[in-house]
Amino acid sequence: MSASLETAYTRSERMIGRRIADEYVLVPIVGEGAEIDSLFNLSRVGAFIWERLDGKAAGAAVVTAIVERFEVPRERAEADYLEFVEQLLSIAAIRGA
Amino acid sequence: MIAPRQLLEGLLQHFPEATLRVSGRCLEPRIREGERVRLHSAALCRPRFGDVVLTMQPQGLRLHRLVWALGDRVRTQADRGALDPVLERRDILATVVGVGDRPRPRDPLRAARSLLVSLARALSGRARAALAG
Repeated sequence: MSASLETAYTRSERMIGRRIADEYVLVPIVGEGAEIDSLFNLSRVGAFIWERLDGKAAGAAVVTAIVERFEVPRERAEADYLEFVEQLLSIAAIRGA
Repeated sequence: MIAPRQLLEGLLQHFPEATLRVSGRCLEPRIREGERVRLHSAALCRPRFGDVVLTMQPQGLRLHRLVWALGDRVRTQADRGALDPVLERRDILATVVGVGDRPRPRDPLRAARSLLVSLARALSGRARAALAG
């Protein structure tokens, strides 16, 4: 599946985001525990996007929020968003709503 | 970039249980390479003599057995290896509470035997050095 600006993506319940000592990490959950040897470190933009993947906001709306928050051109925000969402899809951290 | 110790301590505070895949064979046959161990924060699950613990050693993170503790000083050892350097108790980050579906791999007898063998080897080495000198 390739990323799209029309789709609203939902975070997997098997992947939890946590801010730890100024870093934002995605932690896979196995059974009841955090799989600490498979962590994903997110950038500020990545964490911002991750927190908005709630299954309600389509990609275009998230991109608008990125443009407003980080004051970057829309084309760059779209490219960053699509690349990041592709990565999240590849590790099954999100799914299309 | 966050330090591994800080990251692990943070994770163990956020999650009641963490899992880690074992790399290396130093705890075989009790814990085999590739198995997934279940960890609880050492602050919440105080390790006891013979427990397998996750420690921050000078050379990095290690899963070894707790074989000696006196006050705040502790020593750990691989089941198939030599004694590790003296650590402080705060260097124990987590206690192994299970291996896959198996229970806590605590083994006080193995810990005592490993410690005695290591001490005997050290004494033997010193005696040989003294005789040679």
